[in-house]
Amino acid sequence: MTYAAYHSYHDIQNIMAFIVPTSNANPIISRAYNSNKYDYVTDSKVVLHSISASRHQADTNEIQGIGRIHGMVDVVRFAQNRFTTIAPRIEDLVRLSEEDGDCPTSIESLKCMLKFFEAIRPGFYNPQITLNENGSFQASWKKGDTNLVTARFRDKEEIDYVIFQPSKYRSRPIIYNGNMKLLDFWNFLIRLNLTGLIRT
Amino acid sequence: MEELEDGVIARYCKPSTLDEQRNPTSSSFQLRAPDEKFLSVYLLDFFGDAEEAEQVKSIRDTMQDKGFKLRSNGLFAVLSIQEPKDYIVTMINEQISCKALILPHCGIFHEHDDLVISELLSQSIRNTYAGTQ
Repeated sequence: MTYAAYHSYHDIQNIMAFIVPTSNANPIISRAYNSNKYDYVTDSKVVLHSISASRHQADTNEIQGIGRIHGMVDVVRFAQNRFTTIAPRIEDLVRLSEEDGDCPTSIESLKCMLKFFEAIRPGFYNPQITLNENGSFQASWKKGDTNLVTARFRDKEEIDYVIFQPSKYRSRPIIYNGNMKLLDFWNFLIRLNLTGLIRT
Repeated sequence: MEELEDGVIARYCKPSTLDEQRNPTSSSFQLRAPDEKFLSVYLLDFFGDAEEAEQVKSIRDTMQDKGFKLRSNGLFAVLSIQEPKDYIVTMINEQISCKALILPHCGIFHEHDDLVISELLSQSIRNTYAGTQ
């Protein structure tokens, strides 16, 4: 085990317990971190073998449960039961999409977003949630134009992301963007020490 | 296609792309598909020296004549052409271009990450108008 992986394990074990099988983990597509040679797939394996199964079993079941829901009505109902402060916004967006007619709603994107919210429970700031014209859901946590995290949710637990992190040394933010699995993304935010933007 | 160096453009933002305070977000400036070549915008200057609100009204009429469904809870976001270009160069050293299609219809073209560009475009909005009158 490398030191980086060991450190990651300690960072993560008390926060997350929702691990996709490592066989599902895709390589990270991130300019910034590819160049630093971080090995997220290795991290995923470490976490997979390190999490206490008992502590988070209920939440893990919830994540798996989302995957088994098929109809939009049932997914929205799941959101109503599980995320009471966010559910009205999701209902509004689904309604707006139906009114618009030519703007579809991706149920897989919605499920991906709910899985991410499950992963970062308990206690997170309500994000700005929007529905893109291609039907994908998007969540954004912002403290200003140069301090933000935005995730666009796709199917198969994939996330497109952009992060603007304030720099101590210049007025322009440090910008990260790319695509990764939703749980890798949360690990990534932990590494960047950006969870404070999201978690209460 | 002629590249436009200056002028003012408007982008219609669908209601679901607005935040809960009804402000445009990066969702409002995203391409619909990875292979989509440009972001649709309309050139206000095409309608001469009229007040900006009048120019936006003309764009509403143009879009509706084409069969575009505008919603009262949608918005038109107004941007200059030059400001976001400069802003994007400053922030990420990337180029975008605004090219005339069939005027007043124009397209914003870029080859960078759509999520980054859409965020920076949303930060460059200088005014908004209702989707319908």
